[in-house]
Amino acid sequence: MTEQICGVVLHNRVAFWWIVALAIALLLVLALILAVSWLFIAGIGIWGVDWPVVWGFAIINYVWWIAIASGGTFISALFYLAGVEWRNSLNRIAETMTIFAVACAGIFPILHLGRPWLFYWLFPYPNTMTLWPQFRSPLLWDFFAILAYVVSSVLFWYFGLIPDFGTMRDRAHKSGVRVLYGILAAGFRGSRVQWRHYRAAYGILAAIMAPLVVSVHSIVGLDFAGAATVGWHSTQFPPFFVFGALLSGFAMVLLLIVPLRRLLGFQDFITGRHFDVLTKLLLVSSLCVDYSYMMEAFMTYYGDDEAERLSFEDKIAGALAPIYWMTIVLNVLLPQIFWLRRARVSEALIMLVSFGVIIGMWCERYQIVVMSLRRPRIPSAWGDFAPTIWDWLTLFGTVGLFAAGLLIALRLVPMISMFEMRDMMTEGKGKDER
Amino acid sequence: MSGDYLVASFASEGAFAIACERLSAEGLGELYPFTPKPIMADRPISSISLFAFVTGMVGVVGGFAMEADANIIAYPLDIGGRPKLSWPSFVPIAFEIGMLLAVIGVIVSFFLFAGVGRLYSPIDDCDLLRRALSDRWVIALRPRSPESSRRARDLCESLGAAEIEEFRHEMESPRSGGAVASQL
Repeated sequence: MTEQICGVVLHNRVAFWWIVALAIALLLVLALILAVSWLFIAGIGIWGVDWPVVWGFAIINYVWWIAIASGGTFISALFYLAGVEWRNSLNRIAETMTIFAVACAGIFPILHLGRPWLFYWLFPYPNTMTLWPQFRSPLLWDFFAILAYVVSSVLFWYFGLIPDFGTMRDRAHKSGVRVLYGILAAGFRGSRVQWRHYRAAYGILAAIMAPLVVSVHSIVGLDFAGAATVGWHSTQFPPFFVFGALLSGFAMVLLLIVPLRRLLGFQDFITGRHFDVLTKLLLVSSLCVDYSYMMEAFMTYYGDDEAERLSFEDKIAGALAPIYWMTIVLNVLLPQIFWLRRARVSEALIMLVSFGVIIGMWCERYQIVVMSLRRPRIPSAWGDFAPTIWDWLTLFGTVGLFAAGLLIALRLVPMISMFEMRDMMTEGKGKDER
Repeated sequence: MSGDYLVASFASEGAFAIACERLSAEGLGELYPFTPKPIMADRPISSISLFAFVTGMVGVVGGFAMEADANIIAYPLDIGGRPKLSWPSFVPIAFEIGMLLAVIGVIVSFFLFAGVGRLYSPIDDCDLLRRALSDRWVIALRPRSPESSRRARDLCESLGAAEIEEFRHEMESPRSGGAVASQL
């Protein structure tokens, strides 16, 4: 097992598929650099945002990426605390996904500021103007939540890698590679005392990360719920966003593990059982999201707010209704196929549904952001939104950034947690022997 | 301190555990066990949780104090008639700062308590240790005497050690070694 997982990084030659995928991803990153450079020169007027739709792609994409990021933390932290052994094959891929998804997410609020080079004004630092940020604003809560989540996710990911970096150090043949992994392993040698501290620390980190990820999504939900905007001002938003995060996170993990297990030769570690469990989880989170969609409709008609009713009817039957119904089809109807066991272990179907959910979640974010803003309370203020080429380039550019980061990580870090797999295999062996 | 060390590697956890127990019981010298995975029978050390709690609380209290100071004293602003000390609004940021500091606290305390961060130790020169984080259960013994060394070698051989190596070099600090030995 150790040889096979280390071999992907230490011995395997660079595969053709990897070069092609990285080239495509880097092209998209180039598009991102171009789009952001032009944004810095010309300002956010190059985007489709205008009054009344002042939150456009930047916020749609931010919420979409941060939700995807959360899947890794849920699998890694929450299921570690639950003591489920199947996570050991998936947690490294999921955490790596989190790191790059959260990096993509973090770009958007900064770009959205209008003067992105002054983003550090969000940080409460002593300044000559004695000017402090507004701590009562959910948007500032967001800044702290993202900051805490980004730093914590990177540290949690690195911490989980320390023993495996030690293994890589000990198995590397080239001295440069040994030095690199030696530095990353930070002198971890697997002594009994080190392991005792390690287990304690990992458990505590998992216990911190689990509520942290829930809080991040609740705060993202509060960004919306805190505003008195039609369609947003709802108490269900924080849990609704957590459900959405679970759904898109699980979908992205599935979307990644189906091809990766074959490309990296991990069929022995990521099996049909993992697909079965993850697709069940995807189904459950889809049902939670379905409940939120139903509650949105119910509360609109249960209350007597005319503006809410008009906004909701615009969603389901207005000019942008296809986006709403696409959300329903992709997030609500499509995952229902996973009630069937045959569908839960069919790689083609898993890819199809997961990809559908990822698109569906983006559509959901689109309808939350744009459809609410285009129909404010006063009809004379109604407006519209049309994304520009720069909006699309920025979105696909971050897809490239995510893919490039993940592809580079595949060549540098073991994608399955070796020490946890070792533990699981010995446990299994012990049970067999008994 | 330098001297002779006997390093034995075992292919199974069971043989390793018995060897540790026997070598320790016979008092043949200080033991330094290295394993490819955590030993589940060992209880995790709780001092890290205390450190995490303290750093987390510093974050929560410090974050809240910063917000209160900024919005009450340094830069008071009337936002929609809300009270200056609108404490429920200060909770999310205080929580996030607390969580962040707790995470940093866990990692810093791990590095401090587990002796991690020292990139080189003389034990790294022992060839058998290279497999300790892969597939071997390794015991490094610092024998009390040549007689102890001979007895330890016999014992390890009889318990099915995969490889045995005599290692002459300075070992890890007696502090961490002593701690390991005392926990066996």
